Amino acid sequence: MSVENAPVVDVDEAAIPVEKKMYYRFESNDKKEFRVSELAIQQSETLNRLVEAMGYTSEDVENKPAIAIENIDGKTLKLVFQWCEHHKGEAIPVDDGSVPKIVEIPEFDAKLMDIDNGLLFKLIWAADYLNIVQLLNVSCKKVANMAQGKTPAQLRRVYLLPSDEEDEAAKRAAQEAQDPRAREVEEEFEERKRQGGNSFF
Amino acid sequence: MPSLIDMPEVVMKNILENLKDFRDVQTLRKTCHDLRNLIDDSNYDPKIRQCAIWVDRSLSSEEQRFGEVVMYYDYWNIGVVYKETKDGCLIAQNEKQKILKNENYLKIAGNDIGLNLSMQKSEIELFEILNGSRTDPGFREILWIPFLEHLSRNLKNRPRPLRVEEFKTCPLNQDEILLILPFLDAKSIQKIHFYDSFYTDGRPENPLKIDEILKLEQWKMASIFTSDLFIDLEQFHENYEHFEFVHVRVTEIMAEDLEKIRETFFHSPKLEFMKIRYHKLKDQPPFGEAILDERDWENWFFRVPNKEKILKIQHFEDYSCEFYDFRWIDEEKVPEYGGIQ
Repeated sequence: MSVENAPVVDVDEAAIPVEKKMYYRFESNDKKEFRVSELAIQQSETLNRLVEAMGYTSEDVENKPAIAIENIDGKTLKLVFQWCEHHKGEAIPVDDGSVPKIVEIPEFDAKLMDIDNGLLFKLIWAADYLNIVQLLNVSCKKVANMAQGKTPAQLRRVYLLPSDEEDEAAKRAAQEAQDPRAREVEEEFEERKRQGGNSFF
Repeated sequence: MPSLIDMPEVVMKNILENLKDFRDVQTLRKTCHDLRNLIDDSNYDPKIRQCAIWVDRSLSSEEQRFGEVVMYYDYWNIGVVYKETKDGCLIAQNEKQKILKNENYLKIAGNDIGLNLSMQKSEIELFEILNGSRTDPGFREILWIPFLEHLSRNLKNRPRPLRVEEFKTCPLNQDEILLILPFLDAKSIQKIHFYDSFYTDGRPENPLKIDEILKLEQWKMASIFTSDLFIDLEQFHENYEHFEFVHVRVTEIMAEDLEKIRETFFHSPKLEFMKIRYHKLKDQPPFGEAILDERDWENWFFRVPNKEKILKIQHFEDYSCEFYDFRWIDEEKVPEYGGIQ
């Protein structure tokens, strides 16, 4: 098991109330361990509820196994916790749909998200899974900005999307793998249609 | 490695909301089947606030005046031009141009706006369909009507009527209005304007017939109606008392018409203001002796049982145009010399 440097950013001790100085230990699905401040955890509704329900003491945190986050790898989780530490103590936006969403990407977030698109999508997925509202907002904003003024072909490259032809081919392959006979029947049907037959039977 | 189509619904919605330009969403829809389905199921709303369509003939060619449709969205932030060419359609926006050979520019333009508005769920503040060459020979038959028909088909095929607060158009006859207005959401329409985009002096001899428009729910639900074009006053009577604000232009006005309007004001619970610009006054006004104000405008004031306010009728000439103005005013605003009847 490897241990990432923790906390992921310097902690401003004076800014944190005494009772919030506890650091929790989390483990990614590839066994990377992270220490995260209680205040930073509050940015994630999912993790905040989890630690509240666990009711760990400072001793528990040290003595019990790290809390496993099985769906997220270490590389992604590191970015998530870096973000949470940087934004700890900030108000969590409430989106009730009453006002249009206006999202600005701060400099720190822009640098944090200067990553390849595959990792960016993993970060978005993690932000959604851990319910980190503002991280989700800025990462979605970043993805949206990538679309500006592009053609469909350019967007396919940016968003790692298959073309309609590739999509069809993948579906056919999946169908064939599942039921080779079904594909044979379909081809036979298409051939008969080409020959002008009205009925398959 | 995850891609955009692996994102959960809530994430997709968030990304779409952050797209500044609804045209980017349309481009996204063209990337692959899955994303198209995802976007279509996402309840995405482009939240277009204003849409102006201008149909005209281009002045760019000396040999032939090609038609063009210009669309502006969100108060001229986004503009797209569809131009007729010798062998197809040229689409231009910002610095980019695209030529579609053997395509009809009116059809492309009508379908494009239909597509751009297809996901619109929120109310459009202002929807304008205007033209600049309505007096040109053949303009109506070759450009204007075919475009409106393409647009009409798209509006008709929407799963729900387009919500528009203010509708503005410059028709030559009511058939053109009937291609669009019935397909707008009657519950949303507040203001209807018939506009003379070419600033001609109207056609007093041939006022706009509105008998079919008057039957529409959209007409009955609106609260403001204005028309720069001459309208048929006979058809208009009995059909405006639900409005709060009316400003119309009529060919001629008779004492009987003025009396009818005054009566309508007396019993309408909504009518607040009505201004009538007329071409010809047939009779003397039926309101008794007028009180002249400092500008020599004629005024009459009427008290009505069960109404706190006083009905003020004013007759005046302004920039060589003659008007009758009906409005409710507070009693303290009646001048000292004003004899309330």
